[in-house]
Amino acid sequence: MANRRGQTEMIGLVVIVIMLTLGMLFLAKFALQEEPAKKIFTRKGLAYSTMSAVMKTELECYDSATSNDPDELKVQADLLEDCADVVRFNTAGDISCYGYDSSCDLLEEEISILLNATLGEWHKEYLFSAEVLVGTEPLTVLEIDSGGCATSTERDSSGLFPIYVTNVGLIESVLYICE
Amino acid sequence: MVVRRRVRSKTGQMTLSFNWIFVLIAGTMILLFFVGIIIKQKSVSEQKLNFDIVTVMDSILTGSTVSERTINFVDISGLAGFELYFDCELDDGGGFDDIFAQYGITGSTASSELPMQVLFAPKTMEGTEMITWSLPYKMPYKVMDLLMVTSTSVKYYVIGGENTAFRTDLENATDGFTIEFISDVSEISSPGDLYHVRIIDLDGSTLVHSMEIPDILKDADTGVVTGILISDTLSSVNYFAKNGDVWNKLTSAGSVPIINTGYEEKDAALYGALFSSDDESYKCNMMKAFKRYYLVTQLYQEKVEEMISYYEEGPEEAQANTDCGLHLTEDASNMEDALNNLASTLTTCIEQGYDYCTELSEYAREVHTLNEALSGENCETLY
Amino acid sequence: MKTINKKQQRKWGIFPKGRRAQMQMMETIGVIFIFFVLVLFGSIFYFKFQEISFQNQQEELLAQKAMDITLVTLFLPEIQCSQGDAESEDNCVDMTKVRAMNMMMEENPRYLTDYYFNIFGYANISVNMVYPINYSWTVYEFEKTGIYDNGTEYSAWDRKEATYFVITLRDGMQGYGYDSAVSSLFLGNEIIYSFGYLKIEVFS
Repeated sequence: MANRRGQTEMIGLVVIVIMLTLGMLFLAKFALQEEPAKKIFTRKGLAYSTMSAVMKTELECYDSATSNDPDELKVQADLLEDCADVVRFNTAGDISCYGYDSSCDLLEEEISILLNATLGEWHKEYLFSAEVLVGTEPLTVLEIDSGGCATSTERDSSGLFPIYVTNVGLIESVLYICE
Repeated sequence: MVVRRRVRSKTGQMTLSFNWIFVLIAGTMILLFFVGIIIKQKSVSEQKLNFDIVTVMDSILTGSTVSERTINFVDISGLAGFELYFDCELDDGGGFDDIFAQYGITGSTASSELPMQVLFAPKTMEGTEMITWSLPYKMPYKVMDLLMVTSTSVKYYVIGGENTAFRTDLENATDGFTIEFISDVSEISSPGDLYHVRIIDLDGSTLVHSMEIPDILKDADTGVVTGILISDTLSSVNYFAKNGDVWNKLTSAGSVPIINTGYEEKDAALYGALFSSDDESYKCNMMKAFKRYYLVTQLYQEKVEEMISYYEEGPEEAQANTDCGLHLTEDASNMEDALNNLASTLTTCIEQGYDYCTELSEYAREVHTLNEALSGENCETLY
Repeated sequence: MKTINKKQQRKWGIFPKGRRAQMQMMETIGVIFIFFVLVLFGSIFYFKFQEISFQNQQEELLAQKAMDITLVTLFLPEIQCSQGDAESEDNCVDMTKVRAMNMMMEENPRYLTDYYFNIFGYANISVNMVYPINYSWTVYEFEKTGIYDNGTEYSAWDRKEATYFVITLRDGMQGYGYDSAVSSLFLGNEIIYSFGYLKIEVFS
């Protein structure tokens, strides 16, 4: 009888060990799963396409409250250049739109609306930044931050969108997207 | 007393035998049960693996197709031992509705149909690295991307055409391919472990019907060695296959015309012919392209109607530019008529087959010329 | 019941003579029974795991399909911005072509089932403008539906995966071709490059 009890206990132990091992294996499988490739791709491509779309967008600039014929100004080619001039040399700039103090105000407001209506709606944090390189120090031209992306380690960049403006310098714009 | 002892010893013998018989039967049943499960699971797993492979291939091919003008090297060493097949067949009618196209794994039911996607590839393929290359087919506007698929285990020999622009372009474009540019057949080496050998003849010196194939290739299997002869003007091709010790011209009914505008540096229709297994597969795939061409042309016909209306009844600045209307609808050679001719030719082409599609090149060139004229007059262009 | 004395007990254990073999047989059967019960539990656990694994795989496949269709849509010649003989513009949709495509599909509804369904499958694809106006145009619509006996339609999909992608919307004719309901929203502006996004929903 004593022998039998020992054998029974051994079988019981073996069964428990097998079940524990199987359980651990399944836990390991789920714990070591990589982030799905789709999320990463979409974020990288999204950062670039969003930035590209923002830079090409033409914004309306009314010269007065009653005007029906606005000017259509490109974000990168017209407004950002003027804004860099405003920031660099502390001037009022060449572009004057009704309801805005300068091209920088127009840019900040409209780009925020564009990014909020897309990235914000999709619960993505973002950081839009445009800097002009003055000597070795970059001077911030425009910064739009939804919050949380500046310090996040998991973020994707659109890559730099540079333009060189005579008398102003090299303006580099970038968009970061994070979850 | 003696009787009792004998009975006792027989009981022991019976018990022992019975035990062993019982153990054997029970054990065998249990073993058979588990072996049955294993065999069933094995075949299910193999089928699942094959379908997974096709699913992944679908994704790879989709991604490769949209990465136009990009050559992708895909590691398929995990598929060692699996042979991929690519089929595109035209029934007797020869039109778009007579196409049957699919690809999959040889010997399994895992396959994927390709009713729309144009894919030029060898009939079968095996290897550790797959090469995909996508080029846009423009006639003159972009119709679709044509995908070429090959493998590093397929060797290409390009003979002739030294110092021609085409050979130079091909040499520059195919970095990483198993391709060799030679001047004489004596430079061809033994196939060895290669899955397939294709000879691309640019001067007609090597591929002639019933001419002997190079000695070094004579021992290769029939399906392993094929050839394509490209005309001087790059406007037509002929396909050849090894038949014993001689070349057999597959396109004995006539060479296959390449339908393009001639404006593209890397013409998708011509490069597709280089990678297509034979003339039937090439025509079959091009019929898919022509179907898409028809739909895109219809779309541009709608656009040109809107453009005509824009320049006749639109904003003042648009109406002021009268040259636009001339190029769009009024001139003897105008965009509206050119697109109508294209659409009409395409209708016949996709119904009747490849031989009825040769006029497309001429109308496509006309659309190109008219689009340039529109651009020159600062009008909205068609494409 | 027949009792056994101590001598017999030492010889045969607690079981009466002739019953020991039966008890051993019962013991063996018991062991086999427990064994098969464990195998049964193992099988249930395995098949349950397979089911969950399959569902996960279905979700992954749907996500992959969404990504593939997004890629195909972004490079669709029917709506992609072109620049003559030059390379097509990236991440850009030509609104003149979107309007033309809508017209073409209206006039030829069989193109949806005969051709484009083979490219997109069960999916809804729309171009959404954010600036200067909020408006949406459907490029492709084929939701997975079933029909009741009384003829009414119902949604027959189990899962839906939506993907969004920001794009530039270009209109060389500055909104001229829109119908009056949309034109009135533009209020006289002549914007060529607008801001918007593609919304792609796939069904399974």
